[in-house]
Amino acid sequence: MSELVVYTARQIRTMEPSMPVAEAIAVRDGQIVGVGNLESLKPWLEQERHTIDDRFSGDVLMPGFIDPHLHPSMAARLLTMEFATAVEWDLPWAEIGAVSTRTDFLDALNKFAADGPDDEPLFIYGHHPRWHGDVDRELLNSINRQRPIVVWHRGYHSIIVNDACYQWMGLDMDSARRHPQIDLERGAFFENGLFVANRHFVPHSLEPSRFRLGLERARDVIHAGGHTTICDAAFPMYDLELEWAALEETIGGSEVPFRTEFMPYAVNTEGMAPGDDDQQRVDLVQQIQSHRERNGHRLTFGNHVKMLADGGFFAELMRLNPPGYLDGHDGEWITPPEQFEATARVLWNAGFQIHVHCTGDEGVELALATLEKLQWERPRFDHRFTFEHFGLSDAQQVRRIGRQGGVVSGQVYYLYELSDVFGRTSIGHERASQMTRLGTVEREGIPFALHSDFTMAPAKPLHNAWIATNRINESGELVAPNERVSLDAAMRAITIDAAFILNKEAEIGSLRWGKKADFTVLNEDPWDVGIEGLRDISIKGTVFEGTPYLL
Amino acid sequence: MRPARPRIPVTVIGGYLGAGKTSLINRLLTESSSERLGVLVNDFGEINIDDALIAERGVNTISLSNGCVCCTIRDSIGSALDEILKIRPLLDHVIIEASGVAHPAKVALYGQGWPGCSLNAVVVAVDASTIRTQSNDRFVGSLCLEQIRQADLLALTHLDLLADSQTELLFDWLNQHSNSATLDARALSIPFLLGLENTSSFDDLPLKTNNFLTSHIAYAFANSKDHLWSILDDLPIQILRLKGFVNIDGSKYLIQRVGSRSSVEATDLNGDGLVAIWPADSCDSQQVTEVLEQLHSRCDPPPTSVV
Repeated sequence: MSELVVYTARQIRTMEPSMPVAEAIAVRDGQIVGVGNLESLKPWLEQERHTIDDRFSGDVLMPGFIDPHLHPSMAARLLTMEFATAVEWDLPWAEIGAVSTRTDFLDALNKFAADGPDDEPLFIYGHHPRWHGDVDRELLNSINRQRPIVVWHRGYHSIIVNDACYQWMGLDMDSARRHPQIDLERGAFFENGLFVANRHFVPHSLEPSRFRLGLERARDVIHAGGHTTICDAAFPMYDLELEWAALEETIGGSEVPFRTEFMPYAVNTEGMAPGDDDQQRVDLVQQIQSHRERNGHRLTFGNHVKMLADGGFFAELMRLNPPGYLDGHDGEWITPPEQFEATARVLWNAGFQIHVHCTGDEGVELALATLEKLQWERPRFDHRFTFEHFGLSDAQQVRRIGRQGGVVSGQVYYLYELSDVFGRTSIGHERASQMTRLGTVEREGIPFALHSDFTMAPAKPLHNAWIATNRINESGELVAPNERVSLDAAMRAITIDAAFILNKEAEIGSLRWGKKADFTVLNEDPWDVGIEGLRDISIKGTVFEGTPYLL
Repeated sequence: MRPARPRIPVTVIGGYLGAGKTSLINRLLTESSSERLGVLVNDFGEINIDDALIAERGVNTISLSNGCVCCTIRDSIGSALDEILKIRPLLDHVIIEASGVAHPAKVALYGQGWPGCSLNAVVVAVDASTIRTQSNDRFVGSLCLEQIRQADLLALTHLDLLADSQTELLFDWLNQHSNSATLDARALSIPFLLGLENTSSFDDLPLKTNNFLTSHIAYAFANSKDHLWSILDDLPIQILRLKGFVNIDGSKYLIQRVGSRSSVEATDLNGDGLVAIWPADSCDSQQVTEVLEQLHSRCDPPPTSVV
């Protein structure tokens, strides 16, 4: 048995209501032995060999932060690009800050373009006309005629390229000219036209060394956010075995400062949802459970499974209850509702914890109506059926979620970035201002977590807690103040309640005897700075299973 | 010999779950004889092909002894299309099965601009016995209506389950919700969707001809493409197919119309005349002939090269 290490700190926030604050925490072999102060820990200290480590004596320790829904493999693709975005991303390996004017944006483009060889395609992420003005093919040509340049829109759904890129892609110009969502003159590919471009880009970004570089960067971002546990909420994203090999290599090793729980998709190897066939149902359950054979120390599969209800929020494809969108377009179902119910029934009866991606209030309704039906057919206690993202909802739905025992994992970045623009141009102010209705969720006593869905939003738990408690959007507008959550609830939502959503609350999420020694080291105490100051608190590093990983 | 095609025509078959897309595709696959068909489906589980017809079974593709190939859409429609476009000799026609919750018009964008493809038509399968109830469904009613609106041609399945009076009600209802031609899915075949071998008639089609009427003109001329389009727009919406050749200023154009989607493209193919087909009970011959005659009675003399 190793000797005890006692970390002392200016303040320790345990997230345990019975003893919310402490000054010292004793750790052995990655596990907490006791929490309190040097006086109260004496019975341990008198008996065991120990060292006192006071490196955190000026800092604040919290339970290691938990993000129960993000996507390392998706992030890996994005993070091999250069960033020039109006929103600050604080990337650990880059010096580029927020790029919020046209001049700065063009400077960034010129700098990136001059920075590499002409045969290395350049991908730049983050263009937004509102900040950076219009960018087209000719402009990119004037920056560099030889080097293929691809500029991605901040919202992912369109790109602008130069002539050198056309050459590199070997684009069939004749077909592209006929595509209604490709504009060759401007160099623009949008929506489905983007698939034509991706056909050339995906093999490039998934090339093993590049994909690994992306995953290493994702790992650094996750560490910089102060996380010690994350959940990869959609596995696999690409090719199962190749992806798994890359994940094991980059975030599975003993030097990695966080653990990853995986949430496999509810489809079998053929990409099929189960039909009426009994065998298909058995196959689906076995397929999902068989991932557990991969379990190691850092990477694990528990009892989670992921289902998809309606379309993406940024893309305005979430399903709306009436009345719909201002422009009359319809959202989309990702899974046909009948199939959704049939698959959910198989998973429910097999005892899984089901997580449903549901973004619009009709998507929430489908998940909720399904949960109600399954509860009637075969009641389950403590099933933790999770409403993921939870972009739009109404107060009556929230009460029903509570009565059915559902829990919520909310994406608050929607309301930060989209409540203003969606209010004006997409769904009207009332519904937009009430995005991610967590105040009602808290009042109904429903456990909830906050997630980043990284790369949909920056992987910064304290920023998410700031949004949830302040509800001030990007334009500085206070939206639906009654839906703000309390500071306590927001801090629980990135620690102990996030652990609850991942069914790991017995091991992580708070600081008490017997739990994993996972801490996030802060320069300020969230309860001292209050809700206004949450996003300005610096993460100084983490301790993962007793080992410090300082930033 | 078939003339070389620069692009493979793509037909999208959409429709909600249970509308009969898969049965339709199964039939097209196994019936196909002269045309080599490539079919992209959401999963093989539903596809039910006689083992005797299967030449080779791979992980993502099944090759049939009649030359057809069936491929599953795994990661994306684009990558599945790329797979199937690699096959040599080139396939004659590609069918994409849209997922039950897809907007067929979005899937049709693959036909419009994917390298190597051209869009033939969007066919939406509709279960005649359930669609009216389904259109009121809490979750998918609006989707089903949208799918119907996006169709060039509606293929009605399970029409045999309806009494005559119900059929009539159904057609009234469809008229309110769509501007597309409608046919019994059992009459849909690949030659019907694509056939060009014999432009003077649709005799080669496996149709019960007493259920359909055709109109034919031997030569067709128009002053300009705009003029041609204005005439095509005048045709009754019940026209299921129109095919053939039109001369404009001494150049020859190939006309293809499937339901409400028409294409007009310059062509080197040999042939003359135009033929249209529509369900017998939907409109009378005179209505169609009057429109087509406008192309026939042009004052311009036929170019000498055409005999």
